[in-house]
Amino acid sequence: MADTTTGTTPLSATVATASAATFDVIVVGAGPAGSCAATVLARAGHRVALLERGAFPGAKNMYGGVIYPRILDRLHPQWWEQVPIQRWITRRSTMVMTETRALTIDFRSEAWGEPPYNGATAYRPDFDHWLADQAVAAGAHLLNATTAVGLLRDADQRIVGVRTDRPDGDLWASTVIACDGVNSFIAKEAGLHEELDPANYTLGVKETLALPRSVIEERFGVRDRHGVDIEILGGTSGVNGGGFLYTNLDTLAVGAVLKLPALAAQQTRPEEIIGRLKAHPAIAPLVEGGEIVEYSAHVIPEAGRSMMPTLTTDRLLVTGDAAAMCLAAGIWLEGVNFAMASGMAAGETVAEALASGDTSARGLGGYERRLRDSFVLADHDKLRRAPGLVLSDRVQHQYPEMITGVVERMFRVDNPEPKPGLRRILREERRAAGVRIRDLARDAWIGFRSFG
Amino acid sequence: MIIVCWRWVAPGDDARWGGVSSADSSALELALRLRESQPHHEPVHVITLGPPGAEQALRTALAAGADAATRIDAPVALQSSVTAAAIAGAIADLGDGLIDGSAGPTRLNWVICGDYSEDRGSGSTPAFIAADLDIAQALGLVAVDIGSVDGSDASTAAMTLFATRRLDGGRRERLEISAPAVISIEGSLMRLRRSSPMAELAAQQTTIAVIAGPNGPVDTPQELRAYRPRPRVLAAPAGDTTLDRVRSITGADQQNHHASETVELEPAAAAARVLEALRERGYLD
Repeated sequence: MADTTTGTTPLSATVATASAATFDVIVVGAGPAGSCAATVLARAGHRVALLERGAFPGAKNMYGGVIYPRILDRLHPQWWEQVPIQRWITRRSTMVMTETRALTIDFRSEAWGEPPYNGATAYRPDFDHWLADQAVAAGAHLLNATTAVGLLRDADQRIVGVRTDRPDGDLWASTVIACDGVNSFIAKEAGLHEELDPANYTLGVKETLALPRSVIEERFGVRDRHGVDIEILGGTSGVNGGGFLYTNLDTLAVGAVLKLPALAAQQTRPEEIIGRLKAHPAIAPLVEGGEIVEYSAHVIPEAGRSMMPTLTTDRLLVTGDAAAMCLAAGIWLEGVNFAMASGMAAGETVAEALASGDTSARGLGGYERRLRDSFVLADHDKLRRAPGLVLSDRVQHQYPEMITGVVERMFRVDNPEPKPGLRRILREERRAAGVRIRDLARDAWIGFRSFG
Repeated sequence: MIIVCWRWVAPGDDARWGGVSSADSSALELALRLRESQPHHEPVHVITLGPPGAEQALRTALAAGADAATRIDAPVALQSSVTAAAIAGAIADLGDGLIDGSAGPTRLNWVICGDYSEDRGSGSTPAFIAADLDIAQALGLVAVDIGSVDGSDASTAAMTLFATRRLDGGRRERLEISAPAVISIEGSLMRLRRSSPMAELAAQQTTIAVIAGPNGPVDTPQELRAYRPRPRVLAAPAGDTTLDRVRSITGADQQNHHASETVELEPAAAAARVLEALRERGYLD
């Protein structure tokens, strides 16, 4: 309620009585998680409000990456015939980089360029807009340019809706689904997050470079709408993280994901790091001549399972990045699919709870069960230790030196010296990189447990 | 009735990023405040011209409190005079006797436009609308005294509005504007109110009238270039030393022989003197 004496409106409020609920469910955030949740609920016949703080879904997005939309098979069969993508990824390269060396493992599959496809680059203003349109077509009420600023609670402190930044902006509902991204104010206000640790977050910084479509296809060796995804270990100027380079139709997304405390300690500006990555001999010929058309940055929840909040409380569920469901496990870098899957699971759970008339934490217990039964928590549980391993100093600094050193020695011809044995090269390069056998064995064991 | 004319523009023809200027938003807010200042309900009708994507902006206007909205289905890039004729036609079609006042309480009082559009056009559309409707115009208003509206008896009272208009050179002009009139206002005048969520949802369900508009002619896009004065041939500066030549070239210690000059002449002679002065100073060949 507006405070008429001061003219201010508190961000959250206890309301005397929740008048007849305006909606059955309020979904906060029209990203992939929110739109999927809203679609499921609207199709189940519920009154759903889908709140989006941007001018339209995706308008404020800064994403530049690969989306794996196979999870949409259930929600939108034949989704690939409609979804607005840039390029279907048919080449996946993993690059290990030091200042002067780069080892690339390059894989290509033409099968990924045909239905049902694998991953695709996409502009999120297009992708999210399309996904939200599906929710609206199903009957959800989309409210653009509307920010949820807090939760409404009744006298018993039960959540009964959300307060928005609009005049007369209180919206009542029996359940709220928080899909409001990495910095979820709703989840924080509900007390679902433990104390935030900056070490659990990375900063993703990205430049979008415009190049003619033909130049991109020539440089990256692709045709039609096929594209390339290059993930880079190293190349981040000594800051723990990783680099990336993705092909869109007539732009490239190049950038880095940087561990926050390491970035702060190094006192290097992120755009300098991108600049050095672009100047690396392995990257420069690919991005040369590209005109910067966008520079953006965003925080990413990187620590996976170990930073996830409580996912369910009475009348509230948390999904997607708001629940830290981004998977940053080195060889697997995913997030949008986890958001969509968690949104769908939240929608199904709330529909079930509304049918049974129990939207308490117990009534919403099916949410976590659904996530555990799907890849969302199964992958996160299995890869629980992977983010820590990938962002560790050894993987970030010592192993790239060691691996590229080994490969350089393997392929270097030192005549008249005879070829050294591989064991000797490994031993010498391991020592040169300062890697202890004990640490190598430990990391190998964690890697085997995670990825094996 | 109050008509608000919006120029909807979508950068790159992507309707998702489309919208109206702050001056257009300000025009609607003024219309709503004028309506609220009256004892009777004076309908506010918003008109825009553009493709179906423009309707999202009209729904924003409806959510904010406009009573009705019309979209003229036509290209956004029409020439101002064509745009204005289409809008004037749409206004005339809203009811018989609307413009000449014979419609009584529902007669047209104000046509309010923004002073500039999002794509910074010529700003001439409001003037063309006034000419087409054959009513007064007061353009470029920077202040409007809403309390000055006298409309206690909608059917008979002559509605007047006091406003301040921007002139060149930072000057201002106070105007007493009698309805019906076309006015255009600056974006800084007022900010459009935000609507409630429920009004926003209701507006999404409201039917927007669509009428067919002209297909052309369209404005020829002007190439924007930085101002480049034509080159002039200058003699090498006189002086034996560098300092002398700098003094000569800058005229630092010389009396300005191009000082301003005030003359009293007949118009034809004055025009000839202006041309002569421009030639003397190298601006004309």
